[in-house]
Amino acid sequence: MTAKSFMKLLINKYRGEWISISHDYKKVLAHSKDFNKLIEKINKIKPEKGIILRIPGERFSAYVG
Amino acid sequence: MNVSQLMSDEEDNKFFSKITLDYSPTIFGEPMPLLKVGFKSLPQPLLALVDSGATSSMLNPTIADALKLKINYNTKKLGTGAGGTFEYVHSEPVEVEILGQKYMVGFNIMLDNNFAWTCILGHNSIFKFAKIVFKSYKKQFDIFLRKDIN
Repeated sequence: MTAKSFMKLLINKYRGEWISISHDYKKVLAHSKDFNKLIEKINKIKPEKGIILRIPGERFSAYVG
Repeated sequence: MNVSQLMSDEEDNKFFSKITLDYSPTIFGEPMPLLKVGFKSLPQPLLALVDSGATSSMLNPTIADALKLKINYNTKKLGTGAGGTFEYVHSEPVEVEILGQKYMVGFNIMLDNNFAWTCILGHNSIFKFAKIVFKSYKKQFDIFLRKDIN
């Protein structure tokens, strides 16, 4: 699966959650609805590299200027 | 060599070498110009949208809380973007790491937690710290970080 396809899947699977993904955008390292719990999980598993992002909930706005 | 060439050479000396980055995949399907933004107290960087149409830089309120940023809620303001209006407040400047360089950024904190982007870098941050050339036709952007700002 490409990184592009993988990222598109996240919006349905992790809606409303904070996630940590691998740098190649192909693996979820940790996830939680609570940001502080996500940080706890990241600190526990200590992945070498990852990126934090939030998957928006049902109602979201994508743009701001 | 003419005057414009001299000025161009002088200008180029103010920047580090060009870094070319691919647009990153997003949950929306369309690759976009994103940068990893590190904060001292977070174990991993955030993904930030490099937004040439954004006057200011924005940060998710949950992140602002986690960073324990001092926020003056009396400064609540109404912003307008293509997607409608939104409320935000100012926060104290915070140190960020972008492509190995450290900068101070004064973010506006969105008061809507449902905003799709966790972090947006606009004209008061990344466009002050760097010269950026978007090449959307090949899903890449060039970034020239300034030597004289951090």
